[in-house]
Amino acid sequence: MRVRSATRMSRGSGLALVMVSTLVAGLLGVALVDRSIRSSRTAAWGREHLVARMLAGSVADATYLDLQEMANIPGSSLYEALRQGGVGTAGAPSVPVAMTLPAIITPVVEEQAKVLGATITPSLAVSLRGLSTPHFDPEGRIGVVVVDVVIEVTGRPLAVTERLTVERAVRVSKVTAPFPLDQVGLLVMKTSKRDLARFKGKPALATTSRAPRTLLELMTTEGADGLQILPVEARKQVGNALRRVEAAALRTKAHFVVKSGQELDALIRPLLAQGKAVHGVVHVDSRGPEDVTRLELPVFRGRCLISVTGPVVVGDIRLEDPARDSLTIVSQDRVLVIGREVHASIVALSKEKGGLAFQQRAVIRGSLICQTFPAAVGLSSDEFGGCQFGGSAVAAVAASSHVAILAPHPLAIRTNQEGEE
Amino acid sequence: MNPTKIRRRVTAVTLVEVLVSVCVMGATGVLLLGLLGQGNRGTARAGEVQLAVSLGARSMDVLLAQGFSGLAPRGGRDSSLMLGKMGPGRPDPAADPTKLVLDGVTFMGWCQFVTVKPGILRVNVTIMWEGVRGTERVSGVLPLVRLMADPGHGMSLRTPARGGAA
Repeated sequence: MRVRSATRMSRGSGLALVMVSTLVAGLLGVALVDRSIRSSRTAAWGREHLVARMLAGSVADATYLDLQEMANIPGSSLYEALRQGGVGTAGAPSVPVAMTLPAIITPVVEEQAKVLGATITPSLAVSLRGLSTPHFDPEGRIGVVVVDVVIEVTGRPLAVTERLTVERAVRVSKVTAPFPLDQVGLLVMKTSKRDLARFKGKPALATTSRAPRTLLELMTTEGADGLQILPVEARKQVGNALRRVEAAALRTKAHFVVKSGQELDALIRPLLAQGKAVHGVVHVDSRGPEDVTRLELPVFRGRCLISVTGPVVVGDIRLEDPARDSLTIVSQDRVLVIGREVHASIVALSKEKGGLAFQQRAVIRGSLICQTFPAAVGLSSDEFGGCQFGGSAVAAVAASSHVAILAPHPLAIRTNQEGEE
Repeated sequence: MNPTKIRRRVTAVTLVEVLVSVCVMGATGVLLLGLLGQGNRGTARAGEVQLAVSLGARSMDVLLAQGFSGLAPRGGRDSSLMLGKMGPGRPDPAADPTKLVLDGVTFMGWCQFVTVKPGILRVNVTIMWEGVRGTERVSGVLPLVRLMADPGHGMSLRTPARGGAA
């Protein structure tokens, strides 16, 4: 009886056990393979995200350069958008800027798509936000340029989307003297009996002209071709303009601030030596009256206003291309001109006698604004009378008086991956 | 019924079961071993790719932190990356600092800087790995590219000669 029961229990049960074991082992094997596949997908996903992140950063950087160029080309979308009237404060709707993907990105995208064996689709959107006129610079503009980049990687088991948003400040600043100072050939704010007695202490003005005129001609010619008394109705405007070239105002509006004449030299000379241009408002916080800033630039290219709190010595300055270059020098202290050819406008704000002095018979091809009548240092009266001023009309019209510069470093960077807000 | 006949029938069925079981288990075992091997290789490969991604990302971050002015002068030359210092634990002072060896796989990397146009530097980072796992030779390469702009370019850009007031 016991044998019969054992026989009944063992019939077919061995095979069933094996089948069940096989099934369990099979499931374990499938689970292991599935885990392996998931690991591979995760690793590939990580690689694709890294590639997408690099591409997004590349698009943002290349776009920054293109935008910087566009910002100063009349007729371009960013140029026009920056210079229109203020579109509101932060929070107001942003202004879209028409922009195509930088050409330099295409070969990089193709290369990386080949490496991944996927399709990479970059897209770009640029807008201007918070464009307004700052209180410290009524002739300028400030705003924020927002660059949105989306990189999509498809054709792989897991699609990847990488988003990058970069915000940079942009500032449009006038790099010539403020209006109406940029319209003058020579302006002396306070005359005296020793120089222009007939003006009886009132400001004297000579308008700009195509060709420079000698000091003697300006002093002896009556009427529009010579020095005239600054009209009363224009004095308030001139006074306001002079306040906008004071140190505090220029420091606030400056794109770059350096701490001495040497630092200024270290900033601009290497750029000029490399054939590059110098744009923007550069403010020099001189260490004191003994920190003299020397400006001798045989070839200057760019559109620049250099503001110096201390004394300045001006040597020869020549513009590479007067049609697109301009230089304005503003000093809160004394200015000594030792060069013969100075293709720059000079604003000397020292109220001391001899705040602006000439050591050479010079030609100033630009506006000359000073608080007191220019003085001669070691010059005969003939030589001093032969100094020429004005002749900036051509340059003032041809060269743009404003420069737009995007901040070198972003205000904010935001990244988003798919599924994130 | 004759008990002897019954016992004989049970023995014949059990042998068939054993044979079938052996075949099934053998086939399953072979399949499972194959899957195990493939799974291991896949997981190991995924680990290599993940490590390469991590090394590539870290190398790129270290390079980008030097800024345009720090990298531009190095243009045109290939430089080895110090991957040996990026591995787990304290690096062996006697080991080659340009190589990271983990689980029999050696990771190496190079960087190169090319000025593609004024103001834009192309940073190339390549992570390569090779080694032997068991009897199998493994290798891979991960190339990364990043374009980097000169932040001071805005100050020095030479715009075309088109005038006009703002």
